[in-house]
Amino acid sequence: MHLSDFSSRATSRVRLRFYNDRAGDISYIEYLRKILLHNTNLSIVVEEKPIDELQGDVKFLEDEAVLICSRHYSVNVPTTDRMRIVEV
Amino acid sequence: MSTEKIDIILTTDRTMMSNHHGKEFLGFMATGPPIGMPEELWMWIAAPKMRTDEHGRPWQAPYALRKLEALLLDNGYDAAVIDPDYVDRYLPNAKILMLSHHDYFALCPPSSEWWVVTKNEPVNARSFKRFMEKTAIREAKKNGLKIIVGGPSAWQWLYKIDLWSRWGVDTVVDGEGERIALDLVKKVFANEPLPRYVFVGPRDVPNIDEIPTIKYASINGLVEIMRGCPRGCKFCSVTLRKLRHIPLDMIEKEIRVNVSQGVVNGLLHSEDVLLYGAHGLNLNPDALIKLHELARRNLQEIAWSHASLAAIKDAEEKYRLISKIMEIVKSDGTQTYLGVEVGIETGSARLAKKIMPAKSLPYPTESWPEIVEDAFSIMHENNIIPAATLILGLPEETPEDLVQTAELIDKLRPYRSLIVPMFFVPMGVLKNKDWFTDVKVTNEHIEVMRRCLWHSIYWAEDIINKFYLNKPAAMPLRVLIKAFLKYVKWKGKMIERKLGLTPIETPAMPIAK
Repeated sequence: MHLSDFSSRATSRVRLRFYNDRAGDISYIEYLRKILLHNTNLSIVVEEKPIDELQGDVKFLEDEAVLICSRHYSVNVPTTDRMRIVEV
Repeated sequence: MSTEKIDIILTTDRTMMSNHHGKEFLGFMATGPPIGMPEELWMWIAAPKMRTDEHGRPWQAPYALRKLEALLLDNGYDAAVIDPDYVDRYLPNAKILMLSHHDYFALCPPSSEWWVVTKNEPVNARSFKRFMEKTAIREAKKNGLKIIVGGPSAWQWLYKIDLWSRWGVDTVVDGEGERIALDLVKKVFANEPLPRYVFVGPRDVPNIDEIPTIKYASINGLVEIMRGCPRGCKFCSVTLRKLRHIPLDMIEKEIRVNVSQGVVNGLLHSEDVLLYGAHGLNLNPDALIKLHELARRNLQEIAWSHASLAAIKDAEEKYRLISKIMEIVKSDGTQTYLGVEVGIETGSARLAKKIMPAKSLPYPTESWPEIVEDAFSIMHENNIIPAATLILGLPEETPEDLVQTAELIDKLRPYRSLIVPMFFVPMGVLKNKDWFTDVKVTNEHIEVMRRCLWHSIYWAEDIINKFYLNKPAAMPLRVLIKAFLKYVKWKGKMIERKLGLTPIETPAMPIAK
């Protein structure tokens, strides 16, 4: 999944939310840097939330979303037609 | 220490919160490390303390902070720009600390270049670090203070995650802040979590009617006349934003705010002042004349922030507009010159075509070196003094490109100007390119750099004596800077000897027009 996919679909805003079990750990920014710097077209918001809020958020999802998760991490979330799950 | 209460503190470090003795160009010294003198003296030259009232409110403050302050005040928030020396008294009771900077960590040009060349950290980054290490900020963080940082160098935080975390910065905002700032402030007041990072894309920039008018004086009377730029140079971030022309009445209102608070000189800010009111890249002489008449009516001295060389040539050749504007500028009988920053970037038409195909318009990119020389000649004849930039290390740059750049600098010798070479930092659409801190400086780079050095030294004394620091009050500064120039001259010759380079001739100082 590339940000350009969103761009080509005329989406102007993308929210990247990190569910994390270590509050305040922003080391993920290191991995995001290239993506964020590559982007010049989309408005991007990066957020973080505790991992235990993931299930609730999925349940009340209003927008289209892609859940990217580690294949070494078992995620138990309700399925919804608004969300696609990608294992990496 | 007495405490006072403001909910939202807007501030920055000393290198930004200074009017640089009323000489904007001296602020560039803050991009270098202290050379040949103690840091305190260097800081006094580059960024002397700003006069404040008894509450620590600075007389002049960076324009971006003034805009945010106006936005927050207009929306009923208790916000104020505070001088960095006075923030401690407000921090215990503040909810938000908002910071802006042109170059937080000295990663932008020309700071990054001085850092690479001298191996010493520039004073802007040192000063910012000293500010962020304040005990009062650390204590306030423990009590729930939120820190939001922004400004044109916000992207640098992506390279400084350790400091982002260490200083407890809550949100980094990259892009024009008018729309997002209010959202973030509302979140803080509603005790909602803040996002970590926000990039404001081109479709979310504010319209003219969303841009507030400043309420207090900006540094050196800087007033924005445009936002964005249509030239689309690949190395520039401004060009990614929608082009907006600020209406004349709003410009005049801001100039009057400055003048009413004793800032009687003004700096018209745009990426290309001559494109004010333009239709695409077609100049609008009427709008430019009106703009300068307005500035003349209200200001003692007028300066431009940036202008493109192609527009200078086009304006003069097509409309004799540079001469007309300078007649207006000089019409009060006191102003004799006008300063501006211009971008040469390269002397190679081939490279220009690749990275800035629209910069030469309406002229063909193939004639870029001639455009540069013609524009320099026009500026020289009209007493416009440019500080010009060159970019070294651009992607796809070849030794032949650098030879052509060196040849162009030689041709520019007769024209009064300063030329500053800068190493490429990926901004704009090139900002995803691999960035380097380990710059590979080639022999051709050295040839270009030393030509720039001797060109600038050749003209600097003339500019200082006859234009920039010619008033009696500027004497201490003039003496110090001339001493510094002597040191640079000596050091430059020493390095040339060390590298076994034949010295470049430095003819006697020409007689200024």
